[in-house]
Amino acid sequence: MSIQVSFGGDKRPEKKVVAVGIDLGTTNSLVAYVAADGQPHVIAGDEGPMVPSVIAFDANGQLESVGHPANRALLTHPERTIYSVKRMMGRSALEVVDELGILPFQVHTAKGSAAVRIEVAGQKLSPPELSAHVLRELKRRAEAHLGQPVEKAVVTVPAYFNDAQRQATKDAGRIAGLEVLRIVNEPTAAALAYGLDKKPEGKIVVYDLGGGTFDVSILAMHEGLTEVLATNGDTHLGGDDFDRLLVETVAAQLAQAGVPVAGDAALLQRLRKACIDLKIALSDAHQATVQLELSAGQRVELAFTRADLEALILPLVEKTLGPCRQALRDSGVKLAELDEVLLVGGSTRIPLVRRKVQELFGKVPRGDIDPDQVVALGAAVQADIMTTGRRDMLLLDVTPLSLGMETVGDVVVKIINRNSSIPASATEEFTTSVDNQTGVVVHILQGDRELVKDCRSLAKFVIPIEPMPAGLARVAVTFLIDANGILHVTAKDVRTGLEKTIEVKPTYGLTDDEVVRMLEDAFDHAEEDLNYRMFLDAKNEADQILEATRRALAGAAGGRLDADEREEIDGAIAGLIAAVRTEQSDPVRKAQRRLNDATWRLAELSFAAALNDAVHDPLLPDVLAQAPDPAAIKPDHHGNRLK
Amino acid sequence: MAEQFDQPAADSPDAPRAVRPWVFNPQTGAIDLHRQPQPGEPDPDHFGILGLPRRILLDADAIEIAHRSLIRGLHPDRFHAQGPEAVARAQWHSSRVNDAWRGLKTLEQRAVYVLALAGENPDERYRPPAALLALVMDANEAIDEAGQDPAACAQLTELLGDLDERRAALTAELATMAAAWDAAEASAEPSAAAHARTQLRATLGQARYVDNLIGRARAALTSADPADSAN
Repeated sequence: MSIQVSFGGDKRPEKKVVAVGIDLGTTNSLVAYVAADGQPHVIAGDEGPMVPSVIAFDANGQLESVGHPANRALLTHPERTIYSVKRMMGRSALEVVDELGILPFQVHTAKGSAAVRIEVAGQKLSPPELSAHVLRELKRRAEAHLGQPVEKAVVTVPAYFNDAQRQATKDAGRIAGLEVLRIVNEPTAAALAYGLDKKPEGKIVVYDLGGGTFDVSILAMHEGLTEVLATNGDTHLGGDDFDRLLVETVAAQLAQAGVPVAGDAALLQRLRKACIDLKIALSDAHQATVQLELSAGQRVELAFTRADLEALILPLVEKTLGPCRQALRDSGVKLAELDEVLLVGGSTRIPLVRRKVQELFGKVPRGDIDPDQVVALGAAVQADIMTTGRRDMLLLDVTPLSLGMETVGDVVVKIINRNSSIPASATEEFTTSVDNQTGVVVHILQGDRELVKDCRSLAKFVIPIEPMPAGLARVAVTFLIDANGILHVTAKDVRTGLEKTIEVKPTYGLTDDEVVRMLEDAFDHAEEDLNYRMFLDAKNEADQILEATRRALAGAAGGRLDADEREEIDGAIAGLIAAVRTEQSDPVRKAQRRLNDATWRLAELSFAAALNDAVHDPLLPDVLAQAPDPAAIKPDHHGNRLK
Repeated sequence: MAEQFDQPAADSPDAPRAVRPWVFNPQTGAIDLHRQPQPGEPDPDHFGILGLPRRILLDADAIEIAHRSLIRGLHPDRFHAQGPEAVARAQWHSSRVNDAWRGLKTLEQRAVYVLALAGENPDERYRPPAALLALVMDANEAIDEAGQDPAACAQLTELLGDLDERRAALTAELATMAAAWDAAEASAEPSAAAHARTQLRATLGQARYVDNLIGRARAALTSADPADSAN
């Protein structure tokens, strides 16, 4: 037996490095971790597991809210609220302009590069900076749940993301104060969540139709080694497109009825929300209606059948089948060899999507793990693999797009083919064609087309060369695609064996300097973050004190309190609970002190009871000699914690 | 992690001697991320990196097993706890393992690689021999007309059968030549090996020519009948 009178934290959670898995989605994001039982869990907040990937700013350009509150801000001040940032990651202003029909943002081109900046409340922000706000929210949620700092994460991206989009995602993590352990492809993460890696051998299709992107991957499992054989997809196809079609259709109907929607941003947002509700309802029901408020007091009812919706979205759903066939061909896997078809992404809840997938692959697809959560769960498993060493598992991914180099006549020569397992590398030797030439310009592209204009520019750089007669210099340039699918370039003088530094200027991404500057900007929030940490510490202590007090009240000592004492304690408990809700450390500390003062007598009574038990325990004859001085159990002067 | 490496199985009677993959330190016999070429040791080729004997005829499973066991031990994810320098080294070694595996997957890739190691260019333009010329001309004509003329489509389908047959014959020839090169290389007969390479190069050239023609014929048939593309 032991003398248990301590009200304070003798059982503080063990501080160890925790790495989480993050699904940074177009519409919603999630964070998950692997608990002590080895199972991955999604961390839910007050409004559920999802954090809408929405960021709202106030009129002064200060961050106002992220997630659900920002989602509501879309209805009140849409002009200062940003969503679908993922669609703009690693892209040029020109490409984003193509999206402007859907995304009502002001876009600009960054100085000295083709990268995009989004104007909101008077500032121009890069997509990684915006995404970092969502990541910070997820980080904070994980820290609140785990009661300890979280500094490492595995972040997922669509398999079909190119180098610039992956790099942008990694930059976002860095700006949010997270070390990105690994960028993992979403379909691959899903397979990890299903635990299919435990199968000795098997071939799997992952069909991933999310809010903004479509991905398909063919995987082979060999005893803990998950090998991606081929991947394909469309970075521009997802549930948001279904929503848009529905919005356009309804808006056209409303316009015919004399209600113009275009130009009224708030109404458009209400309509968008109504259409999403409609779409979701039609996955379960064959018909559904929703109310749309046109203006104060004026409402219309929108009614749709599942058949209407299916007729509308059929061409989009069929657009996913081509990439599926291509991935199968690239993998060399035959339909009959497939063991499982997994469904990922909220849009796979749509019955039409399930039917089409089943028709194509000839197998009933599996969706038994929540398709919205499966990617985050898998990312958590990968984070666990990389940090705990308790799983003998390995993920061998592929690069989704070929890497090439510009050559004479605007033609691209392939140096690493698509679907090559990564890390992958290729070395090319360069020489000079003119006497005293001091450099060779290299233009790196990604894509599977023949001409420069059809591929995506990744970077341009100059290989420095000492002046000498033409053809004498020999420089070997190595292109290495790392496990995250991100390109690294190194160069070596073949004659001297010396490494040469090459400055690679990304065409669309952020330069290292820019990331550093954004990191510094993030320090402006450091105080805010520090305050939050202090709150977290206070909250953990408060939780433990509350628990101990409740236990003591339920015991014999609790019964010996008089009514006033009891009332005072109950009031202090209520006060502490209320203080925790403020998410500020000061009120929590104050309320803790009040509870400590109120429980002074309770602690004495508990100690006396414990002592009494001990004295009457025949197994512990000399307990009195070991008992602590009763004064030691009183609150210390600051009242922070009972010892 | 280094201990988990399994040597590729080599139990058939004429199985080539298993070689230690390059990343293993010759002195300690363990995976060595700092492994450098020894004095006088050349840079390893794809075969050396995977620990496979330098042969064109290799068992596909042996290649898979060699790759899997190496990548399990060398993938950068395994070195995260050891810091960025170890991760960077693992990145480099595992990329070479993946590159080697990718480059040796099929018999024809291995043949091309063996030619490249000898400094011979397998991409050299090749003109089809007289025996193939008639078939090539007929096929080209049918490809041009397949779009408008159903009769040309039917003829092209028939020619495609001939081309597939021709391709299968070339595959068989390549296997014979590969065996000749393997034997010459194993018994260190440079002139026999050079002769085998000349034959391999000629046959590979024909194979590529036929592949190209088959690809164009299939594409022409597909665009003439889009319903066919579902297969």
